[in-house]
Amino acid sequence: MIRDRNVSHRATGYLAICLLAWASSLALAGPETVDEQLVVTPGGLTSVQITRGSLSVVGWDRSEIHVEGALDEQVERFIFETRGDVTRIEVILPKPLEHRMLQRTTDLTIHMPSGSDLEVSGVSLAVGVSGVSRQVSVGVISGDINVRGGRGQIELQTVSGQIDLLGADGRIFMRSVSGDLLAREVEGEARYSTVSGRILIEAGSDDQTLESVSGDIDVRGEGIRHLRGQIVSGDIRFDGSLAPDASVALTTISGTVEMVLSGEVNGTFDVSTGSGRIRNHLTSDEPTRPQYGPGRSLRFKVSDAVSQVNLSARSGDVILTRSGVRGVSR
Amino acid sequence: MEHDSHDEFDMLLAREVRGLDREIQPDRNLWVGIARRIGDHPQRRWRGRERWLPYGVAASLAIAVTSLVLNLIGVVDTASPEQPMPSELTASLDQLGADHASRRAPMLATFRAVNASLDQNTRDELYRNLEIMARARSEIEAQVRDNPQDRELVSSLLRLQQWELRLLSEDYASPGNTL
Repeated sequence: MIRDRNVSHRATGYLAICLLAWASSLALAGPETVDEQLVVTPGGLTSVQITRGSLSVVGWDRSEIHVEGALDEQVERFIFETRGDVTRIEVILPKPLEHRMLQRTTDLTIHMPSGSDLEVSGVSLAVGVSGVSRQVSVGVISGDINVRGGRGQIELQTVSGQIDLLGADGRIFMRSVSGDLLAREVEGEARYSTVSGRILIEAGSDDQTLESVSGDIDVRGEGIRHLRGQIVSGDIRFDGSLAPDASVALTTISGTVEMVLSGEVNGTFDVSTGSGRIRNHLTSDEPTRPQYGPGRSLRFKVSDAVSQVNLSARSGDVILTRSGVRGVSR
Repeated sequence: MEHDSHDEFDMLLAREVRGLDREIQPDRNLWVGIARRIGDHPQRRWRGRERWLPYGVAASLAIAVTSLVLNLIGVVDTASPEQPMPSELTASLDQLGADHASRRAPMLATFRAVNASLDQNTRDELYRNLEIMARARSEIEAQVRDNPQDRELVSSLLRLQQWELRLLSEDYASPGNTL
């Protein structure tokens, strides 16, 4: 009888251990979904770190942050906390990560006060941001970044993803290694930099600096005041109009520079090429050759405006034309 | 006239050097986030070496540029396009290339180690782009040798070298570090 009681106790102990182990494994595995809300200080910072998956951030007019969605199947821990004016949202994965086929990665939607700053970092993370009217910083490795709005310092960076910015105002930095950079309806001072991605700017700000090693640059805008674009190997094109006091410098080492101007054309134009041709369809001025060596240059002035335009292609053509002129090809 | 030309060239390169470390300061106080991240990600030993890297790069670049200026000032303006490239300028460009290579090599090794945990596709993409930069650098160097009087090309070469080193100093493996 005593022996039976011992066996029974032992079985109960094993069962308890098994239950404890099962509960621990569940705790370690972390939650599958999240639906949480916190009251936060308006004007603070929302900091998000997610290694992989997708994230949508939406600004709203409440002093609350709401996080909802699915968490990575390998999640260890989910952090959602506020300390002072900083709210931290993180999906912690084990290190090193298991590289296997995944059924589920993180897919979160975050609603945050539109008047707070936002910073997001991740690795394989697609990020969408809308309705945030303050500073936005996003840095990922391979995901695309789409930002609508933002004011103040807007800093967007990726290695191979595409960055798409619409309607921001402030000091804008967009950087990629091979991803394309797109910006539309941007105000303020903007800097774009990529190694091999393309840069496409539509209705860009009146102060832009663009830099690329081998991707093409295409800028469209009206009333441009400061525009500086440089490529080592690629084409650069501007299509639009200039402010009366514009300062424009477009340079490629190997490629074509094309400027298609609309509206009233004023200013001093300095154009040079090393081994290509200069095609001037703005005025009747003809390029000249230097006394020695290769190359052509052209300098002319239209009206008394103070605008200065410098266009240069070391190995390639420079084309100057008016918008709507037919028969001009690159 | 020659003196004016020297001054102009000196100013050009001085502007380039000044522009190398130019950054726009952020509006808000970033220290809260930085302190938290330092706490969250204990520093590894190699980071101690990395801390002086930007200063080392800036200092060595400044030395290289100064050296180049001193050499080119005496050479460029006397060079006519129809004459072969003066040997002093060739030596200066060779020195500039050698200096860059000596800085680049250890940084590339560190870059490989720091970013080793990235997935293969991302690493391939990064190395492909580093190759693009190296080819572009070679292309500009060749153009400088063909057009020794072209100061804008020298500026482009210096900018590209700086950009290449900046890319090599990136730690993409730690989310948030690149922000």
